[in-house]
Amino acid sequence: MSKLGVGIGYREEFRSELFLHRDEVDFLEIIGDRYLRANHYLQQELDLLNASFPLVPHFINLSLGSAEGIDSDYLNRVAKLVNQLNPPWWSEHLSFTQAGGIDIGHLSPLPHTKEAADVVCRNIAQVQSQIDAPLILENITYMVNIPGGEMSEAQFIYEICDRTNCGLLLDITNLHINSINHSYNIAEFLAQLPLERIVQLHFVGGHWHNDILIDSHSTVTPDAVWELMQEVTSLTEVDGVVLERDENIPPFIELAKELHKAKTILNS
Amino acid sequence: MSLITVQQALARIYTDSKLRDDFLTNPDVVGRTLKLNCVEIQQLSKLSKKEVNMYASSLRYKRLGEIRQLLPLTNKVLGNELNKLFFQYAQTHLPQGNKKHLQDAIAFTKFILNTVIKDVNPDWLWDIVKYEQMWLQALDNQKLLMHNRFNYPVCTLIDSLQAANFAPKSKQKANITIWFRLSQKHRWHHLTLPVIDLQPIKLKIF
Repeated sequence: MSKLGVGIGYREEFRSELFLHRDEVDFLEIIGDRYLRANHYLQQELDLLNASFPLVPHFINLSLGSAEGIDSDYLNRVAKLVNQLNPPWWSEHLSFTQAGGIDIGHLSPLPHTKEAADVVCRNIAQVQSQIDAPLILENITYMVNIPGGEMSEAQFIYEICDRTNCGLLLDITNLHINSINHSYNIAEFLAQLPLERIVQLHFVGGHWHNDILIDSHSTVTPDAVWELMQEVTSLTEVDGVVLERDENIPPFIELAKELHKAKTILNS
Repeated sequence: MSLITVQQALARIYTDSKLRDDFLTNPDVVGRTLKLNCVEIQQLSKLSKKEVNMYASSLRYKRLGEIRQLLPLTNKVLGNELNKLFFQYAQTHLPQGNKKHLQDAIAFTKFILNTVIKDVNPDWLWDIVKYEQMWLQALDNQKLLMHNRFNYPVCTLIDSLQAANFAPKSKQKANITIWFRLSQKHRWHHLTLPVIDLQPIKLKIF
């Protein structure tokens, strides 16, 4: 895959400032869902971004873990957008967001079972039959442990990546948050992951609420996540690193400082 | 275990507060109504009540965050009251579809206008909610022309709210605001026209 460097998740709030700091951003990760039914204004925005930066689309609602299968209309729109952009890769989450006609509204965890792995692999095969660009899969944070797991989360990810030949988008903030909220050891988790499949990293900071660390994408990246970035990039080569800030977005110069720090780590 | 049934049950447990309480209190009975078999009921009965409630709460807060962004002026005027109203609304409303946040915000404005602010103070809040509802509907539909009637000069209200945190001083002055665009590719514009108070015509019969 192409080595893209350090990028940022595009948010409309910093659109003007982004172009003023253009040289500090190697590529943009766009939320693909935003452009699936683009009006004229959004299409213009997409065209501008595409003309100015390498783009990597990131999706939220494909629901790769849905046992009912994938919404074919949604998939057709995703395929049209990804095939049109022809990115070096694109990404979705290992989760389900819909079931029984209900849109849950967030990335919900799957049971770590053989059956769930089969479902995800079947759905990914359908997706890959329509989209040529490589799909990479992101680990999510979860508040709820689904009982009945037959393997660890890392083994579950390993099996799916292995069977589908998908790359991995390792969200190191999610990994940090889960390790705290569910008291597990990050070194053991990493030892079970297919590290050679890691293509991209996500990083940002969350916040504490009632003794739980929340994946709110709302604060500066904490030291523990920077250390994790250092560790992962020393273990394997990563093609892209993306700052994923959604809430309390500061002046872009603050974001640029984090991008610079990530570049230093990635190039060290 | 049937993952389809389990996921359908989980989706309802996460999003329906009454069903969630019932299931977490009595999984055997409620599990059967969710078409779960004995093994599945046994498995899901091991769900942590604390974790599930926390996740459900985070889903509601996520929706609230989207609504605050889509209704900035309503949010500014209502402040913390908006949270209370939203949680009341979210008991019975769950958005679906591709434009779910937009639909959610539109449905929430309808909820406010229809059920909550009949005796609202300040009374111009009604106009603010209606104004933001119109803009959301403009984003959501294929129309080229829309209109609505307001009790206050809505543009003056909006300008003063956007400029400051204090309540705008404005006198009632009925008006009709018209939203229009040349085609679906063009941006919306709006203009406000005063409602002319026509006096009844007195006919003299000679």
